[in-house]
Amino acid sequence: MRRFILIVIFVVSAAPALAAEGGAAVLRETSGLVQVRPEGSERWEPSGVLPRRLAPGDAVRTGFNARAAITLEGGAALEAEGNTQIALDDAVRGGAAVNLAFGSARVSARALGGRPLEIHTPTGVARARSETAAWRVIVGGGGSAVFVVEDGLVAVEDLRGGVLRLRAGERVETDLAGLHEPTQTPSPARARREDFAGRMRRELAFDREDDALQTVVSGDQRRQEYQLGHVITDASGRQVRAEEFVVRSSPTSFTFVALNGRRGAGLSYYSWTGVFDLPLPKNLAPVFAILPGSAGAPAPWTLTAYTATSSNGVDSLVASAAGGHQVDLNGNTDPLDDVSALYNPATDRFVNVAGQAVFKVLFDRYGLYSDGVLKSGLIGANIQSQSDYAAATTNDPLTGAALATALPVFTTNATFPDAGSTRQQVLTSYLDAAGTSIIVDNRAVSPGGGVVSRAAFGGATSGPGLQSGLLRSVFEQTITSTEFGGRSIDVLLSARVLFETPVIGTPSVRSEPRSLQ
Amino acid sequence: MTRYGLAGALLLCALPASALEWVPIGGITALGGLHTFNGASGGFTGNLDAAFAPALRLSDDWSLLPSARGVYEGTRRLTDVLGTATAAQQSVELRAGTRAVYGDPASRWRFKPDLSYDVQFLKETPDEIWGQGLFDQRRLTVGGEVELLTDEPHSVRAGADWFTVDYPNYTSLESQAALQFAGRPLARELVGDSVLNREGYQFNLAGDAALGSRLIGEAKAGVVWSRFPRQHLVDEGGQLTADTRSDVLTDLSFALRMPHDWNADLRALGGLELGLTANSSNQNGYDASRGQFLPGFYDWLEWRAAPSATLIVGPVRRPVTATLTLGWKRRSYVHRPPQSPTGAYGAGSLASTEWSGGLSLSYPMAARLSLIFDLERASASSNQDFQAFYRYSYQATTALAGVRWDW
Repeated sequence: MRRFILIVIFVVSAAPALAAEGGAAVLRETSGLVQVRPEGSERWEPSGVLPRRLAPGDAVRTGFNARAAITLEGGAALEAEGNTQIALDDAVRGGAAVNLAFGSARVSARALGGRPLEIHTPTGVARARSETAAWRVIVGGGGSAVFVVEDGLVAVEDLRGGVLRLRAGERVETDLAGLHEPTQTPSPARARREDFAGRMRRELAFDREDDALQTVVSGDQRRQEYQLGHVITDASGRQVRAEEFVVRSSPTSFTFVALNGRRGAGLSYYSWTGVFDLPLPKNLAPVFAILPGSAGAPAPWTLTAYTATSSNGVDSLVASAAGGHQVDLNGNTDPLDDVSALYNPATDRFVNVAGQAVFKVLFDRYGLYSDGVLKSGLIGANIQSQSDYAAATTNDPLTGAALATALPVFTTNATFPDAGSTRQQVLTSYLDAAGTSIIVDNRAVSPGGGVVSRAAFGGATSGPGLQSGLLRSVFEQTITSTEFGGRSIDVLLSARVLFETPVIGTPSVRSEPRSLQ
Repeated sequence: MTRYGLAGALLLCALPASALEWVPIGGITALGGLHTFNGASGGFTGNLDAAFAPALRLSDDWSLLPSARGVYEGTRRLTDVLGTATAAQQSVELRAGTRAVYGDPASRWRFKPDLSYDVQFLKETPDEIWGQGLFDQRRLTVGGEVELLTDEPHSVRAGADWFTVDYPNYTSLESQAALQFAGRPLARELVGDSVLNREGYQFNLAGDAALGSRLIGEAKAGVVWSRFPRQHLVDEGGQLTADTRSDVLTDLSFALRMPHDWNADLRALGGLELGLTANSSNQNGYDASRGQFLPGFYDWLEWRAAPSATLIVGPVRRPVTATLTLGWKRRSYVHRPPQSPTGAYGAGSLASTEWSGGLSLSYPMAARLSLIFDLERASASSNQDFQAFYRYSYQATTALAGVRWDW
């Protein structure tokens, strides 16, 4: 037992004895990964059996969350924290000097008795200036260092020779630019609190980073809705939702639908249903292409009937036609219906077709209904020109039903009532007992609301100039009719559809008041 | 719900009083200013951003970070979706979330489950009413993150979240028409109602590290996989198929930061960010006005670069900072052809390029209180000439001034 006690006493006293001997330091204690690189060696090796003597020039490094305790010459204690690298320096005689390359370390000494104790960093040196001293050094990015004095008096010198004396509770930072202003060290409780707050701020920032990607996705969804024209501002500055699509209800027909939704005003729509003589292909692009007419040869599909409807859900303006057949308008006997320009939906251009055969569809029966009341009609039998039409007067042209009163004569007048703006008003007046009328207001809408100036279209009020101007803008059509009782039908849609779809009559006749042709 | 609340309260009470510590974190930024878009002004309005997070240290291993944030934006910022031609747009965002952080102090690993709920209100035109905005949205996110501390404060993080986003005021008109005008051919088969609603998963991978003694590098990768259960795919004939839409947005970004000190009172931070974002969708487009099928309509690719320089003058704790940022980004809609001014389709891919610049100044007035000045300017151009619905080419400016208070 006595022998054992003697051995223990010997071992415990061995480290200071080693430290005192020959000016060497001693690595006394480690936890985690701690490695040593002897002076002159390139290799890092495990710390090995402790205590281990360290010579000047030896380096020690610690891994994440590791720790190394070293007794320096003169008895000073140095504790290297995780991710730290130090090297013993022989720059001072009779004392101790340590180079701290990176990481953090704490050094403390009692009864220095004038022996020097120094910690060197890339941007500053701290020296003990009292018998008892303790301080921490943290070396960060770019070699900047923070010196925190816990006990005694410590002098900190920067690379330019500037010196500052710090007392317990003071701290200072050095970098390549020199010494910063010294500040008071927060209490341990406050430091712990600030450290915690810092880490939580970091977490808060991470939280926001994750949200940023969702913001991109949501923003893109909204952008797409605008790009598709699903959200439009009308002429009065109100937000209007719009959707356009095609419904295939049978192999030989399709319906184009333009739907609008306004807050508090429900839905309004324009629809055009075409019935053809043959089954249509899945891809309707070639069918749309021949709707305005076909130059050179008849189109492969003949539109035999159509119905165009504008409605606000309560009121409607419906045009229906049947008995459609293709006629070469430039080859018939009527020079007044000759076609000189044909709209091409693929290019939005009006192609010169003067002198060519141009096949368009003429219908033998046509009727226009306002809230179900027949306003006008045309009838014929395999007509070969626009002038072959006869006005229906006593019978419904589509159903053949006898009418209670003969259909009145009507006149159509298109004007641009607002000087300078692209607002066209088409007034159809019926010479009936009640003096009924249908007014169609066509407007090119500016982004954000308002009506486009006519100057933007080169002042055009008819023909391809006006039509191409309308294609460049959001197009709004408002219909009022005596039968609507003060209500109106307001629809924003692609003006293109009104150029493509066949209509009865010409601008001078205006049997179809919605026509833009 | 009350039961869960009580259980949570009991759990907190069960913790040793000495272990529980809380630190309030937050800040308020109040700015007033002006936004102009192609010469149209949104008027003089303001922005307010208030955040509060009472961070709780439950033990040495566990921390909890509940947070709440409210943002009102009356003056549009250039990071918003511009091009919608509504300079007077206003928005409000309210977010509540909580994030737990678990980590043994002796370990390099941190585990962070999180939960958040976010509500956004948007008022794009004067006739819109708060709470009834077309693009109002609600988002619930549940997930977590794992962090590996490499060399503090640098780390590598990987996260995964499940989310659901719904737009309570957005229902497709077509689905409404199917109900209102039953009997008339005004809707396609399989038409969906809440077509913008989405749900899915988000994955993130991020890391930063010191590159030598003077550079810090950051890299991030994020993937958002969104499924739209009520939005059916459009086929070549413009009709809806049984399959539903699915999008994958991938974002990659790299940043370099270079701090530099001239002296203790004059420092600088240079930065360069490079990024790439790509969206891939199985949805197609269809131009019904001419029967034109537009495959891959929603696919796009965006490259961006943003150098910046910050000058920091004065003491570390209360410096004056001035930041100059430049930005360039180019977005290509890979399969979407550009259009002529009237809307006719051309050849190639639709692309737009935006150049931007910003100057930001922060001047300390008192502890934690700073004066803020922000000036942003963006200029965009595009080969898309049909701009009746959306402005691909624009000039936008935002100028803001105000105060920021952090604690």
